[in-house]
Amino acid sequence: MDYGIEVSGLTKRYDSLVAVKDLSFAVKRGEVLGLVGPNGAGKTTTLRALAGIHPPTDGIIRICGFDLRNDAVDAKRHLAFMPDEPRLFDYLTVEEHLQFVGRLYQVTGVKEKMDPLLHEFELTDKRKSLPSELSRGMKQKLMIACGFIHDPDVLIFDEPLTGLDPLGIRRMKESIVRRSQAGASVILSSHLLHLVEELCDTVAVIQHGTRIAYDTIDNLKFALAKGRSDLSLEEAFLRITAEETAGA
Amino acid sequence: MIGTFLTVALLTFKNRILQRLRRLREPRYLIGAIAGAAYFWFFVFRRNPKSAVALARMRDLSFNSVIVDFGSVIVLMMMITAWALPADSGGLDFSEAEIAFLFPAPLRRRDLLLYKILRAQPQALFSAAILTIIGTRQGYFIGTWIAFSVMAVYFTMVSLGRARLRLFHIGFLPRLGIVALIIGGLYGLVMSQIRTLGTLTMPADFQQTVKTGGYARLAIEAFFHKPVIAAILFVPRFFAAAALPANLATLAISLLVVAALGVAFFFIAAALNVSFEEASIGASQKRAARLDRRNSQRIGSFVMFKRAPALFRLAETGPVEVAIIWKNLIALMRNSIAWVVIFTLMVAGMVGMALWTRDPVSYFTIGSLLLFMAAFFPLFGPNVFANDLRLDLPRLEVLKSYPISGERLVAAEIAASLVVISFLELIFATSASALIAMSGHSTGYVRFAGTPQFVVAILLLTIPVCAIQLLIRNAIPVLFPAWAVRSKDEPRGFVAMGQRLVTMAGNLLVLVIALIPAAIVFAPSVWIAYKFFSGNAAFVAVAAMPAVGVLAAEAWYGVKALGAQFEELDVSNEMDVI
Repeated sequence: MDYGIEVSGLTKRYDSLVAVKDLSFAVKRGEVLGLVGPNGAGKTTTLRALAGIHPPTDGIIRICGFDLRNDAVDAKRHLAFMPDEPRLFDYLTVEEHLQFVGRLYQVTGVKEKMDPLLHEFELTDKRKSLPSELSRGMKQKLMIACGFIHDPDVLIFDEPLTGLDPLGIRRMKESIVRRSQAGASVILSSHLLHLVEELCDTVAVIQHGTRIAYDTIDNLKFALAKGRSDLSLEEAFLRITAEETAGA
Repeated sequence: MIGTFLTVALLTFKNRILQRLRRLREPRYLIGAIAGAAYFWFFVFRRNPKSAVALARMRDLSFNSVIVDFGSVIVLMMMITAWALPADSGGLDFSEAEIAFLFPAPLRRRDLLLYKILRAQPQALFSAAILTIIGTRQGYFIGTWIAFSVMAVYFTMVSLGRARLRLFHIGFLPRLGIVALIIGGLYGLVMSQIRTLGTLTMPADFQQTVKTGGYARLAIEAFFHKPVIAAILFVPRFFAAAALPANLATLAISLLVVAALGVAFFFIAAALNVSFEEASIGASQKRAARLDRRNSQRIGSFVMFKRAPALFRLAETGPVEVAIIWKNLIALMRNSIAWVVIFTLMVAGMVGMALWTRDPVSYFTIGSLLLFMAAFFPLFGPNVFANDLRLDLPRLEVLKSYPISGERLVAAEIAASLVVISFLELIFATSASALIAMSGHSTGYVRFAGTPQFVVAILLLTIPVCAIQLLIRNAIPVLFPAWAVRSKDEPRGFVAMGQRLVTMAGNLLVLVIALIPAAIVFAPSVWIAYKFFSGNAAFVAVAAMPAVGVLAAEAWYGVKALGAQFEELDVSNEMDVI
């Protein structure tokens, strides 16, 4: 089982609107895939389908070998989804959030895992606080800590750095790298292309719900560089999407 | 500048109306609008004949002058008490968009005040039109509108006046004291005038006057025409007379005076030249927080007791459903425990009162009352305790990513609400049964109500009914997410009222349909149980068993069906706006 995430022919329709069309990719264990694209390209729809939040209209999604449609509970046990907007329970404290999620994923030794996580995300002093007493960045950190408590094999991040302070961003990047090195398959969407360039091994560019490029960052840049050696991912992205727009 | 402001105000109003009309293309708004309009029509326009007769009599009696008199008193009180409000309350509030666009714009404070007054006009026009239509008098819309608008200008002036007084270190308490003194003085003056009224000269047709209520009118008019009272109410009377003029001449005079007062208030407000921008931003933030809090309270997500503890310790492993129940019981403790306390204290008070009297009649009366509450609690309990899927609507996205099947999630979600409702039902039923037993009634079926078997039967029947009720209510966000969504721009007025009516009617209809099979089974089972166990108190519980079985089966299949639907639920569309 080399792949944490396998997506084949993913299609998501809303009435007449096709949000994602015949999308396929795979993320190996220990690999970080960046999902990039303009606003409304279908990134969040794709990530939500991967997390089992909405059923795809067509296609197959496998998480650690489990079909997300037929073995949803087993598949979800292996993944953690971190949405761009922290959706926390207003009435649970920081500590209770972690206890709750720990029980859902049957985590043993939650107390022992909780302290390092709270320390990692600078929430130790806030363990008894409710979400209303946390800043936007702290809520985001708590959401991520909840995702990490069960050591998932698959991590799905939608704009993971939104609302984080510089130290939080650095720690977040370190966390992602550490977890991917430990064998987790990571997929993240972001408009911060320097982050994608720094963290990701491969990139999938989608536009209008269709995959228009999918390769390692180096290969993508090499293909577009045409002799230049200093091409950034940002320039590569702009060229790819511009070509696609012109072609359409 | 006036033209620009008027254009913005009118365009805002027009766009708001157009947006609401366009929204009617969606069935939930259209159905809500039709139901709301029907309700409005039947209860406002098609008044029952008795009300219509009473209104007609009021008109015949020429009560207009009396209404104007009392209206003047209300206007006077509003004008005086406005000075007693805290410095930062009302009068200066601008929306967040207005703050962002107008405050940095090259506008004078006077322009901002003018904008505020013009902005309020479409709403004032609308309110005046509604009042004119549903009020006791037809017509004189223009008078009501002008009176409303000038009062709004007055309140703005007072707000700035309060802020100005604060610069002179005259804060809330001194103002409150001065206002209290003025009101106290007015009260003394009124009492002294009432004492000087003496005996009224009776009209020739005294009998007829008394019969038609004219005597009261004469007494009131005599009081209000006293020179001192007339002088005090001289200015406020123009406002009341503008809205309810006796004739066109009064209307014209009142309008002229009120409009002149409006201009004067505006220039005084502008001359006060108080820096209100900061206060406006503060007021805007407070209003947003207030609205958030009100919305949270309405949907039951407002955390009232932040430090209330969890009811039990959550073990690290075991059935995942327990985690959901644990979470929802914490929600109960922190959001709605006040209701549990209120209901428990109410029952304790009633039982205590009965015990204090030591009277069998009191025992029976209060016991019956509690029995009545036990019978009706399953109907409204599920509405009061919403610590289930309804509370988690904004987090459905996260819930759907958890490793738990839809069926188990739905069952666990409604379990916490069911636990608390059953607990209260147990208190109602046990207290009722104990008091009835203590009353010593031994006749007919009443004696069964005083037995433990009866309490068991009540719980057996009501718990599945409550479970079905909770399922119906939790089904709304899953089956019709659009009807459960609470966005910032949710409809108000009769569309919202209509939506609530439709939801309520739908709930009742589904409940009735769900109860029909149980009722069909219950009738013969009662007959059979009565035939074989009539001498035993257990007969009620035995008779209830088949119906309980039917209800439990319905609840079970309901959970399965709703769970399957939950798994197919697409939260990406509607829930984004929560």
